[in-house]
Amino acid sequence: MSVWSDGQGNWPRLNSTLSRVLAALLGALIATVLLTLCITLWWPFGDAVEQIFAGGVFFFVFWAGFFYWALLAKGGLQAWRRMLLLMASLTLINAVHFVGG
Amino acid sequence: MQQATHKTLYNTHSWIGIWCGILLFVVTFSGLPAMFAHELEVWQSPTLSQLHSVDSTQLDSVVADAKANGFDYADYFIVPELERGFVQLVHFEEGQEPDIRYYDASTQQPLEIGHSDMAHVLEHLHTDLHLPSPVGRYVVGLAGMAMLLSIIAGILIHVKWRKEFVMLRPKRSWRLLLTDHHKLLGLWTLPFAFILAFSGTILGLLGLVSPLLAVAKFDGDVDKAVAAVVGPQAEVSGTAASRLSLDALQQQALSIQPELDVHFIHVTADGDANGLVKFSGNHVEKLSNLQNVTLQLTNGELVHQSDAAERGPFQRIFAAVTPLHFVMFGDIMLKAFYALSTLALSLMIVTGNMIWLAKLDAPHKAARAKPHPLARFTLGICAGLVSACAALICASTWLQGMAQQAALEEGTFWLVWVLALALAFSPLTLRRQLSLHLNGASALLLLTLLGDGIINGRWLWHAPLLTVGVHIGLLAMAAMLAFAAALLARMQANSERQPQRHEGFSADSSPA
Repeated sequence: MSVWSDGQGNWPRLNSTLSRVLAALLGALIATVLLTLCITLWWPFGDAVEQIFAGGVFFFVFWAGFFYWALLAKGGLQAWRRMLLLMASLTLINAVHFVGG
Repeated sequence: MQQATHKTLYNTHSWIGIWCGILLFVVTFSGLPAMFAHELEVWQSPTLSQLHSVDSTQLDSVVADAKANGFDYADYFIVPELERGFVQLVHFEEGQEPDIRYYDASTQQPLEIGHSDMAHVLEHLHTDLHLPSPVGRYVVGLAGMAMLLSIIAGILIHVKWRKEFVMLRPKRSWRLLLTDHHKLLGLWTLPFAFILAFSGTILGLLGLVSPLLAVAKFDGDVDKAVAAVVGPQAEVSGTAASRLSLDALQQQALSIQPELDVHFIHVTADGDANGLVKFSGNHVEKLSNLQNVTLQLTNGELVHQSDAAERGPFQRIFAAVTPLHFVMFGDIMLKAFYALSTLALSLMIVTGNMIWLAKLDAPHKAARAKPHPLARFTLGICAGLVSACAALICASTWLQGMAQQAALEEGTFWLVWVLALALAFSPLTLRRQLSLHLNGASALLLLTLLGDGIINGRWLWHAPLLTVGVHIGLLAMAAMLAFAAALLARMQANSERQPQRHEGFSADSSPA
């Protein structure tokens, strides 16, 4: 048992409403930052200026979308799972670009 | 929609309103004078308001006169406000007051424009809440984001929107009346609110994500990214060189981009061999304010140009954001429509808070002993802002000609706002306070017209066109405030006759 787990496979703090709200605010923001970077790096059309606007102009629309995706989860754990899934996938895609040069 | 989803969205909509409602009101309501900042800037100066529009001016004469009179800077802006008949020269120095000079565009003679700063006080409230840069802009951007999140949840939870478009039940409970108003105002202003939230958030928060975008495409160099969009800054060589005529350079810029409507001219490193001049402004036909041409000062060689209206879709969207947000297109009727929508949106935000307060009282079915702190803050800040704006506009006419006018105006604005907030926590009933604010602000606006006539000799029936427009706007606003005060008094009388009608709502617990 710890402050996070009750020893029976439950994580009451991580599954709380506060945790869900944090996932919606913070997790969604980090995921959005990674998505913005991803779009800017991979956008195939136009010059560098067009590519930075492709990533930047709809930044907050993605944030809003991820915010509600996290908030509409059943609990904090599911909200964080959703955000972490996004973060992991987007980090991988960004890493491919940076590693691939 | 599942009940749990609906509940989550409803709660999100409510909590965003509770936490950000007052900030959203301040940002939204202050957008009204900010929208007319250019008109107010001209109106606040009796000298500027007498000028007539011209088709062209001689920039070289203006700059030569300014330089002969101490405006000896290598880096400065020229703002040719030809439609208003004047030219502005501005030099910014970090940590110092900007040096701003005004010239008559037709005679190229310097103008003494007075000391009023009313328009800037109101404009800065909207753009950065008078907070240090760039914190204020980010806070305003986050308010836009909150509005966007609230709009999304609001759309999703109101499933009977066809019915709600026309539903108003004035004879039912107070809470239903508030709810109907909130939904009606929200639905009718939805496209407008969405445009404002969308464009406002981009303007406020793009600076926050720009380092990230620079990392992706410009090796983390934000200056390089900015230069790619708006053109480079001059690198001073130290070698003195004479420049070409600014009028000739402007002609050259217009030959490169004939659709450019020049609003700003930025001269950097004037007198240096590497000096540059950037002409920027709007597209004359398309919705874009990201048009610019940068030329070498010494030989007129093209250094950079950006024609966002002809670029990719994302640049075109970004270029349309500022004109969309500040109504830099269409005619005065469109601005009037924006102004009315801004008022409706502000009212919708306040009704949101009031619904929550009425709901809070509902289980008790009796008047609260003391008003809820949110009710006090909502009244003090929101109604206080309306009074403070009216007091500032009024002060600007009555203090005309005083050397300390700008400081006194700003002092009046903050003093009235702080007093309103302090008053909200006094024993005086909130309903009485609201009545005081509405009647007071209305009277101050009427007093402004009187002051403008007595001090500046500008009466509604005998004044330049722009002044007449401002007077009509102030009269309309005064009438609306007086009407709201009369409505409030009538409701008060009704509630005294039929106390049961205001079930779950204390006359003192909410601002109306």
